[in-house]
Amino acid sequence: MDMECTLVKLGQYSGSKTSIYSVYIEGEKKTLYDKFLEDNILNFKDELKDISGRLLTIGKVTGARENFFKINEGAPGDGVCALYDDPDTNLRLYCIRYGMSLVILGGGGYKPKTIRALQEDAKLEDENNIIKVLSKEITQRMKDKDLTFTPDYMDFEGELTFKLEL
Amino acid sequence: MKTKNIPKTYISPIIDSLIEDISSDELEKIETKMRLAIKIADAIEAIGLNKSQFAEKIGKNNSEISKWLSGTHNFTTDTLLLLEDNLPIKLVNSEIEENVILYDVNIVLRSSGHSTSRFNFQNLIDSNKLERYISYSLPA
Repeated sequence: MDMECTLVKLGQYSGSKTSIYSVYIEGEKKTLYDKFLEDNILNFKDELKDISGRLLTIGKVTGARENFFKINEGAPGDGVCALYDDPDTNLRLYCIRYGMSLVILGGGGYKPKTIRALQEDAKLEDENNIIKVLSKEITQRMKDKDLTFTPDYMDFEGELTFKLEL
Repeated sequence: MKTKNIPKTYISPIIDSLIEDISSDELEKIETKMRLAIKIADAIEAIGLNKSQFAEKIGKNNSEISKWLSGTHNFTTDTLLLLEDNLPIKLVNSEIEENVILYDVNIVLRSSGHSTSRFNFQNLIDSNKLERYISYSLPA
């Protein structure tokens, strides 16, 4: 399955400390992060408010400190991580972190309570796969110099639309 | 580079509605927890230890330290005191303020033919400081 998508900057969260991006899916007219919110707002609104507050703070106050994320959720060095989630919480949100100043939000979902179930959860595995494929494509575009960071490392510039083969 | 497109800024309606539901108190709590986590993380780095080494030093699991530094943790006083004992930072202010007198004075000025004006003075006076908060509002 192919997914045509474009990197967009999330206006509400981005600030002077960190630019927060997501992936706009052309066929659905919404981002991966929008879908994550829509899927979970009925059952886990308080958790989503907490996630939203943390993203606002990262963008405008603190920057994307490594401690605020669970790192190594993808291949070594690909930047794929998850916003920190406590074992007691219900949701996981996958991201790609590029230092303190740029984060791409992917999707995520309900997090089963046992490690084994988590590793076998099809929805989370799919969301993790999307963000891993995107990270790989971004790395390749950067190698090809079709995509770069701006001099302040706060933004991307270049070819921002992708056709992800999932 | 073939093209030098800059990203579009996307305003998400669902993010808007979610942010509207976050009260300023809730946001302040989130921000305080994240600032506290940064203060602790920086102090661990300042004493030349990484997370695992610090966990070992204070006899805790690595995962517990990760939680403390995640910006989501509700610290107990015991934990804050443990951190103070092992890091060069102050996290708890337990000093008792002495000689605190709180005045709360409302003054209403009325004059015929003119609008009523209300003033509120709150003077917090202790042995070391004098702070005056004045609010002034015209009647609707």
